[in-house]
Amino acid sequence: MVAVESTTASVSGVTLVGCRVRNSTTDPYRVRLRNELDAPVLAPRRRGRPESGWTEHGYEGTIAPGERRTLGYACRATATTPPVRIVRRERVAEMSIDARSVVDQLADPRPPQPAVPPGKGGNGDEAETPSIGRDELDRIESRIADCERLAAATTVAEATRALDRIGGLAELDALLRRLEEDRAALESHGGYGGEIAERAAIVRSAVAVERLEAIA
Amino acid sequence: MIVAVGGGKGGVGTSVVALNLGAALGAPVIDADLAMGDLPGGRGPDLHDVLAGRAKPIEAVRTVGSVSILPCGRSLASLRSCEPERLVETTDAVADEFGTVVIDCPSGLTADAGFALLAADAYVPVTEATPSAVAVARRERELARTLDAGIVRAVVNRVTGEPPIDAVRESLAAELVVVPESEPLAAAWDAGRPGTATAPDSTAAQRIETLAEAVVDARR
Repeated sequence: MVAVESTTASVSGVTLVGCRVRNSTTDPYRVRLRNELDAPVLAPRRRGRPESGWTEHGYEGTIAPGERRTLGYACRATATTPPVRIVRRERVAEMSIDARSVVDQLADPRPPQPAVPPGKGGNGDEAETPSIGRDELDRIESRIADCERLAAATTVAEATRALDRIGGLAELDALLRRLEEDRAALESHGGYGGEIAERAAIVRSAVAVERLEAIA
Repeated sequence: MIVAVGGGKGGVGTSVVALNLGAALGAPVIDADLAMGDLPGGRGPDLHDVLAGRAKPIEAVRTVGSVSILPCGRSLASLRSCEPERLVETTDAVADEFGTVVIDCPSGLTADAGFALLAADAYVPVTEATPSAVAVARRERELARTLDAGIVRAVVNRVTGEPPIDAVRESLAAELVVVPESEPLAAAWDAGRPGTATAPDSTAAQRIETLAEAVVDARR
């Protein structure tokens, strides 16, 4: 059988509803829960959007055999008993997979806020133009690209090719020195200049000088 | 048609295959590796800007050599400001404009890979013929299957010697395109160019052409 248990808690005129939907059968069930409170559902949100399955009236989803799914939402209304009812339960032949909810369970590729260096653009201040010439910026990006190739080389052939592009091992020291100067010059710039400085800093630390010397 | 080139494991040449496939199809390539993008791009708005709502998808597509590319941003700050789920609408917008789009998927099973596969109609996993790479490709293949991205071909990349190709075919349950380790392709990649344009007669470039034909057939 498929059943729902619910609890409520009221805080400053908002009722928080917690429910546990349990499917004790051996088949998957499609279930629709209806909010019984006298106001629209304030659905849980992820990255600013309602999580999948939620509408202003309630929740609909497929509960796997044996699954207990814990759900919760808020509502600007006083609590009633029960706050939520199952209005539809339908056995489904096969567990249909909600693609979006699968993707929602994957890891977030974004870094946490504390890991982002402060004052380096990325928040709408990209329009800020660094007071550095376009040609110079192109030259800096080209040096960064040279270093990225050196850092990315995993075989002797790749490393040799990357070294050839910069004029050989003798030029490596000078390239890394220039890159450090580039980074220092651009560091105080926001927006695009700041991004370039960050790339320069990352790639500079990634070039394995001893390994390249050993290869050459 | 939206073709996701993935495979899950870093360093197997996914981006090189994506770039060359884009060149062979005359289709733009979206660098969807949000944290470690590596397709050439030059300056201007990039995918991070698009996913943060600072630029329109088409504005961020530019021509690099003979290929149209929507490059990825490189900074942590711009990555932080992205909404990865916008990848689906972004890819759709580029496909509306260009017809066919190639997505260069990130390694690892993160949400950017998931959204790329969710957007895609067709899937091309890239792997090397090593047990660890094939195992990762199998996992991503399962995700692609769940997300309804049908496999067109699997690419066994950077092949040297005589690896156990039959075992790879069986493991991935897909027809294979075998691309040998290729100096011309690698040199072209270093210069930010597709080897299918600079060394069209190389075996590797011709195998990519074979892959492109399979994609065109699947599109029909």
